[in-house]
Amino acid sequence: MTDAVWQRPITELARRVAARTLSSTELVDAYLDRIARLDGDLKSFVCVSPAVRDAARAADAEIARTGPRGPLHGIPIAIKDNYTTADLPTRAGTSVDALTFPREDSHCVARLRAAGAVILGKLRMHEFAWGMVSPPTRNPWDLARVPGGSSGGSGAAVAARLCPAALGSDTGGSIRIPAALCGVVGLKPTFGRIGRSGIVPHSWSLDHAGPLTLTVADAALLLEALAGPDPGDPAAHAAPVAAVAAGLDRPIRGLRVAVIRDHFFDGLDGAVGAAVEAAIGFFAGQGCTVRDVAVPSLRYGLGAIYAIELASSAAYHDRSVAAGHTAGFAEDVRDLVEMGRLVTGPDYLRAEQVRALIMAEMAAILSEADVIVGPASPLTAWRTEEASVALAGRSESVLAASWRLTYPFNLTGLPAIALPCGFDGRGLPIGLQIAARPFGEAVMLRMAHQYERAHAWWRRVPPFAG
Amino acid sequence: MMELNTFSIAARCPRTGHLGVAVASAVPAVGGLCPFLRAGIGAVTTQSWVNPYLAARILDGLAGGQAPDAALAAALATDDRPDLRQVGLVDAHGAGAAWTGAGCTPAAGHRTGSGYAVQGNMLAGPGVIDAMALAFEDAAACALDERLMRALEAGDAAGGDRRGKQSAALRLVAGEDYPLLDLRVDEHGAPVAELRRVLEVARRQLVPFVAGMPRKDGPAGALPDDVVAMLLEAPGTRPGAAPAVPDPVRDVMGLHQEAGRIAHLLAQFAPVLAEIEVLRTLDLAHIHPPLVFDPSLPYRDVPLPVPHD
Repeated sequence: MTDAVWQRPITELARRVAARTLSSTELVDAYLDRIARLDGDLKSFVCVSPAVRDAARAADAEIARTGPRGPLHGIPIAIKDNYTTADLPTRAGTSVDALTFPREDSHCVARLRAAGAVILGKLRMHEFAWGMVSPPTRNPWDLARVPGGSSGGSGAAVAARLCPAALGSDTGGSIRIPAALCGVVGLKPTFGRIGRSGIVPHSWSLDHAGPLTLTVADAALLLEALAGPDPGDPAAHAAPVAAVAAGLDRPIRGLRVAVIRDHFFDGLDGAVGAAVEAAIGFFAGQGCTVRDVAVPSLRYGLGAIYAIELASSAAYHDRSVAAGHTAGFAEDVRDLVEMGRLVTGPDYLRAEQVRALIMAEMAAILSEADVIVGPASPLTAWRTEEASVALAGRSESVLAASWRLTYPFNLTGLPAIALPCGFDGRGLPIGLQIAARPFGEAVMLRMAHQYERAHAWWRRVPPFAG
Repeated sequence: MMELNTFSIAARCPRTGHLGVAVASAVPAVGGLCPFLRAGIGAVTTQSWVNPYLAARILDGLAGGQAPDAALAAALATDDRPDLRQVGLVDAHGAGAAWTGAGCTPAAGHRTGSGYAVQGNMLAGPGVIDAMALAFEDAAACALDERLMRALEAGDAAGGDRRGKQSAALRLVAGEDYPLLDLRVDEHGAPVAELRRVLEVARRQLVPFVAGMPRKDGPAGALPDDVVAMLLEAPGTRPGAAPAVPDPVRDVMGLHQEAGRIAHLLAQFAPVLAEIEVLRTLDLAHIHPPLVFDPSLPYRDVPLPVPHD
């Protein structure tokens, strides 16, 4: 069954589409068939596009006429439901009917369409990207467990091979957490690298757009397609993206790895710790230098991101609170959105000042290192009904634990990628996290790609989706 | 049975014969269960593991001509657990008596003096009782309401109830079957200070009204015109009205949810606040936040002219 198209990464699908041995229509039909068979249980899609087969036929016709526009031409991609789309409704995970979103393509969806991708459908998410659970989506490795969040539908759908790639968004870890818990690649590029206009905002200075894919090379393809100026996003960087995909095979010997031993290695599940140490050992074995470092200011990180995220989200949802719409939110999200008013102005700006401290300490580390390597999540997927877990002998809420290792790179805006680095005793995937300097995606992806090539965890398909 | 760990004073004014009790505690609504007064008979406060019937029996005893000590002893004799009770009283002549059972929570004690009885239990220390007595004696030139209030404030300042504070009350009777003053703060973070605030408002807006009320041995009559005029005003525009103080959460922070919802949000916010409070301890004045204002933002689509000289 290794020939089945749904098992293959986009890099290979693109070659077959270009060689006319695979049509977009065949590909879309293969995924539609899988969605029909599996998503009743997985619950990762909010909706499947009724126009997707027409779009695939149009792509096939154009490819037959003039060849593919690029590697994404004819490739079906699914979209987190906080990106607006012209042909599909956007709900951002909320069931409050009074809140509606524009029927127009967000910047990223427009770029995907321009690259020839066909939009397969919209994926479930934790309401307004506030949370790490994404109900009712289930984890394909164990349907009794959560897929992570907030891009839980994106992680579950890619892991179950219901689409070869998905878009997610990441404010405190919402791409990398579901990637880690579902065993796929999740890329949060540098803040500003991918334009965000048309994504329902959560926290303006923390929100990042990015892809979830099966492989690092596919993440590089998506990054190249998505990066670039976005007139609708003041934070979007105008600089053209470097050709990251082409350089993935360049040697990593001599690259410098920093391991932040405080914060990132506190309270880790045993299997997670062992898998991450093995990955660090792999880089050492490849001729990278490995150095242990510390970021003491991270002890203030939780207060900083809480203040920024809560204040921003409260500002965005202010009219919904005044109009009483938040009463229709899920209880956890309603509490967070409404309590944001309790963050004072000075607290918010002090949080930004603390952010500068953490940024400076990270910059000092990255002046002597090319990448930072560590775990993406201290724990593997937890059971849906679990509220807390024991980590290193200490009880911690799953929500607090889940974003502890990802939010530092939202505060600092540094590029970070999560990719599988093994499985625990229950067969649940473990996530590795690699970060780099601002706009250092090329070296980060190279390190990730070469780890992935040597281990190929991505080839494991969840038994549920086999 | 409720344990009213409390500090209180029962007293009589030697000039007017008014009787009064002031009390504060770390339970809600102490004013409803502790003080019992009967005009022309006596003032009693019953507390600790409170038995309100003791107060009624003491007042009956005083009314029947018993001396305070005798009335107190007779009442305690009817109780199978006098060791748990604390009682203080004065009679219509200002003679005081008090009882602190051995089972009252320390620090516990009482003191009687000319025209008063001061008592308390579960106190921050024995100094509370002495501070109250001293404040009452020092204010001998003042009216009874002020003397009682000062005694309560002195007890509060000396540490008061060692669990904290929750409610306070001030009750005075003159010769009528209704109280001269009956003020309660039933649930408050600073109940004694709040009681003082209420007392100041009551002196301007309530005492003149009560002074003009019908008496049992005189003509019912009508209120003076200026009192009527004042009471026809809205409370906020009367003399002594507290300036409108905005509620910090509702009015200042703009959280307009109903009270229960706000309490829930505050509870949910507590762990976040704990993290934010750590940030407040840092000296960050020298750090520019990584927010850089960009005045050119709206002009990005329209390039700015290049200046030349």
